[in-house]
Amino acid sequence: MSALRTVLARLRGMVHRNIVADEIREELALHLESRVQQYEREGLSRDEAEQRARQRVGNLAVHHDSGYDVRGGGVLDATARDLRWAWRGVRGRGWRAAFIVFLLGVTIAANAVVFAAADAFVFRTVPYADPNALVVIQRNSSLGANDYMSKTALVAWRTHRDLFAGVEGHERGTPAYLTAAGVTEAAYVQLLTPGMFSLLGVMPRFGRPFTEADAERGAAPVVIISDGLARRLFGSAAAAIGQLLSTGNYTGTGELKPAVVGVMPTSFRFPTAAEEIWQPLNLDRWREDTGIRHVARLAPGRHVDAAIAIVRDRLPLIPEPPRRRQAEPAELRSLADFRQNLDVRTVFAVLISAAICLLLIACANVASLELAAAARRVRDHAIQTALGASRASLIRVGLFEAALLMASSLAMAVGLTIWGSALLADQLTSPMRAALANPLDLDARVMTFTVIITTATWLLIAIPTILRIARSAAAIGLREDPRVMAASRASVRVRQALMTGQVALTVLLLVGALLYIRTYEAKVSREIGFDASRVATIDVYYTPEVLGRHAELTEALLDRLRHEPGVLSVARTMTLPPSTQSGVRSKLRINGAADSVGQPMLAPYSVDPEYFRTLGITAVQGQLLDASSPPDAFVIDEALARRYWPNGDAVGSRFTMPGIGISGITDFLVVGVSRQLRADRVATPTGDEVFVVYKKIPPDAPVVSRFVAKLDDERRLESLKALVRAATERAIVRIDTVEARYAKLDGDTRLAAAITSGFGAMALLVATCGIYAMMAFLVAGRSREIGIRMALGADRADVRRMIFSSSLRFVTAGGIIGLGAAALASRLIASQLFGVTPTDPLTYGTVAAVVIVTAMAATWWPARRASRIDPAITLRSE
Amino acid sequence: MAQARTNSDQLHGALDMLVLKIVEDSPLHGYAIALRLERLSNDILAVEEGSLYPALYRMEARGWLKSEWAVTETGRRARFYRLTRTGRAQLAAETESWRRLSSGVALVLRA
Repeated sequence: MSALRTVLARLRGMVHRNIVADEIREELALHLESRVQQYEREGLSRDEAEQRARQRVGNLAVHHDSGYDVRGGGVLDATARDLRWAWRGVRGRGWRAAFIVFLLGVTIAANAVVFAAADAFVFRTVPYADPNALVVIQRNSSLGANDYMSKTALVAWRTHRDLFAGVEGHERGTPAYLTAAGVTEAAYVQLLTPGMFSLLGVMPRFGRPFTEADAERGAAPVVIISDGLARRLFGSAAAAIGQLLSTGNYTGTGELKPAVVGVMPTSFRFPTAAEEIWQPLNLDRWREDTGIRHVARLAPGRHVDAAIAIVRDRLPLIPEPPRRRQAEPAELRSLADFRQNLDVRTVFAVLISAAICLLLIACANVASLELAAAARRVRDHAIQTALGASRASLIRVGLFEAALLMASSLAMAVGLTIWGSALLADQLTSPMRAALANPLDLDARVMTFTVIITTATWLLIAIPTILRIARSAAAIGLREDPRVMAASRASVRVRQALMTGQVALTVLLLVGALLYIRTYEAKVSREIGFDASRVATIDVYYTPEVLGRHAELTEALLDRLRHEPGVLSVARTMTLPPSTQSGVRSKLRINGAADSVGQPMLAPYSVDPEYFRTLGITAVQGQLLDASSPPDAFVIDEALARRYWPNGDAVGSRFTMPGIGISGITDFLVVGVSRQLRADRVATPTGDEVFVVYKKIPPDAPVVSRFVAKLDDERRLESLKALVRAATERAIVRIDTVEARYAKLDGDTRLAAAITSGFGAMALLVATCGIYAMMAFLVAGRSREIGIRMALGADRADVRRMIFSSSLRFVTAGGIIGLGAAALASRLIASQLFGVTPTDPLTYGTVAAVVIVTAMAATWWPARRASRIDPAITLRSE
Repeated sequence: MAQARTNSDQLHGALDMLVLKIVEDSPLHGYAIALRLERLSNDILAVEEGSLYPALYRMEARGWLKSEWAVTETGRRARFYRLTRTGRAQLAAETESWRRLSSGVALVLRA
């Protein structure tokens, strides 16, 4: 109780500091006054009365102070004094304070941004209520995870109420074509059984969830839409409720436009970030042979691991259509496990490690600087102690100093984090964006993380000061020469260890960064096989509204493109390069001979003859396609020709692929061999090479509304966009360049390379500053020793050599540790590397050379200063 | 504070007890407490005001007294000290221990 009261009094004292002092003064003044009056009444003169009263009352200032302390003013004064000292201490650090704030601000921000991203991608893969109880029942097939199950199975699982609190289904719907701000886009639709929202435990932010009645036959069509879509279409989420969704899916006859009955919260994603419209799914009307995905919530008290075994046991009880029975047995998995983004997980593991490395380097650097500052201030502390400052008070000042530094760093970090996460959000590749389970925002979790690492850093950088104070005794501090103290052995050894650690971590980061950079370089510099510069890709997707006019509209567009100034050539193609579609895979039967042993994967491109000119594809043998080429004429890839026609006699030969036809053709004539083309993917999932083959667009093919256009200037792209949009009413138009499309394939490598190399450069800079600061400090501390050495005959070169070799010693040690750690750690990212091995000697050698050269450059100035020491002056000052 | 410490612990304790006793019935301001102390003890225990205020602040901090501003009969603003519940308990305890001590001392002196 009394402690609480004291705290309250002190708090009150803090707020009403002057009031406390004034009240005490007033109270004492009244007392004195009353006493004077009493003495006057007793017959004394005013002067005598005042004198006696004063004697009797005693020193007013002392009473004042004691009351002030009790009533809470005193602690505040002490605090204010400590803060003043701390501020003086921070200012005394000069440029070092600015450096520390900058360093920690940047590294804390780097950690916060990476954490925010990792949190959104990896840690919170399922943004639903009580996600640990959410599971999927799926089956594995040889083609990879496949979560399609049957409707019958879903209904059957619903009866297992001891195991599941609920089982709901969902499946992809037809995309909806919407026009917002003049641009038509496709919004992805997911069909949900009406109970899905309550199963997930996320309700619409506005409006209502689905009811069973919504899914009934004949019910008015309803949709629930995402917050983003609501804003784009109707201005705000609240305004969307009750509106009709005007989609291009309807040709205007019969079908009703669906009404928006709910808008989900911004953070809601189901099943991925791509879906923006949810429609009710009626299980009774769902066809048995159409798959449906299951999501279930475990009954209270059930655990996933136990449920997996139970599901395995009960599986024979679940009826399945015969065709599905043949597939692999179904399995229960946790939703979080199922949704984890395995491929981005490794990237984020790397990025988080890199960010933590950077933070450690920064901490080591700051700790080293602080250690030097503490050493330099031993005398200050000694004097303060001698003047009556308690050790506790000095420790408090030390903590305050660190807190002031950290508060400034934190302020800087918050600003940088906001900027950095916006920057990162811009850089995400579209697969990454779709994999985002949560919005990439700065939520309470990110803020908590930031505050935690800031506090940890705070304690870490305050430790040297505190240790120093705890150990130093006033007498020692005053007696000893600060120059000797500064370079005291223990302190130097700690700083050297910190420095070695920094060098090691920097080497580790740089190796990682360089491996990613070389991977990215190797990926983008793969020979494409044609001239991709200034080639625009145009993809027009007509909505069902203009269904009957596709051919006419496409013809008109092609005509306009052909006559557009600046468009050098234009061609239709069924596949835009690069395509990540899978091709056909089969053995080849050449000229009726025996089947080939290998099974190449062919990616057929159906193109106009102008395609070759537009992309600058040249023939190395035979000829390319032209207007007169027959429909079965193929242009094959150089690599394929080399592999299967080793005698160079590909042109003119015929081949078949047993069991496979491409656009109805089964017997293929090779008319030409194109220059080797880069396969669109590095390899198929099974590691096969993919070969591109070309054929003409068959005359009876459905309307092809994809084009490539060679421009005379990259800047025409914008006017091209306007032209195509104007020419294609109610169509989804995507315009890009071939180069940009290729670059997107390597977007995640690029992101990893950019971030790790940014971190690496930062680390190198920090370590260089650290080496410089430490060597300068050592030289200053050893000036007497150096002076003596020179007096004893060492020349300048000897001194320089001595300084360089002492710097080289810990840089080499750190370098070796770092390279060793990199050799171990790089194995973990081996799967992400391309064109470079995890222990690539060139990469390691480059990093070692860069670090040593930079370290020696940082040592150059201190070494020079050491060699300029005049022994006469040094010795005289003794 | 330094002055308060020069008093013996016994007197120190006694001062607290006396002050608590004086404000037991009605709240009083510092000067009134000093006057009352003098009168009640026939000036034998003339308390140095130097000890009074630190004692008041200390007891307030401990929660035995509570102070508030009020107007005196002469119309001046003064801080009045009032006994709290804890203060009352403390007074009882101190009175008891004082009684025991003084009767013990009396026994020794009589012997």
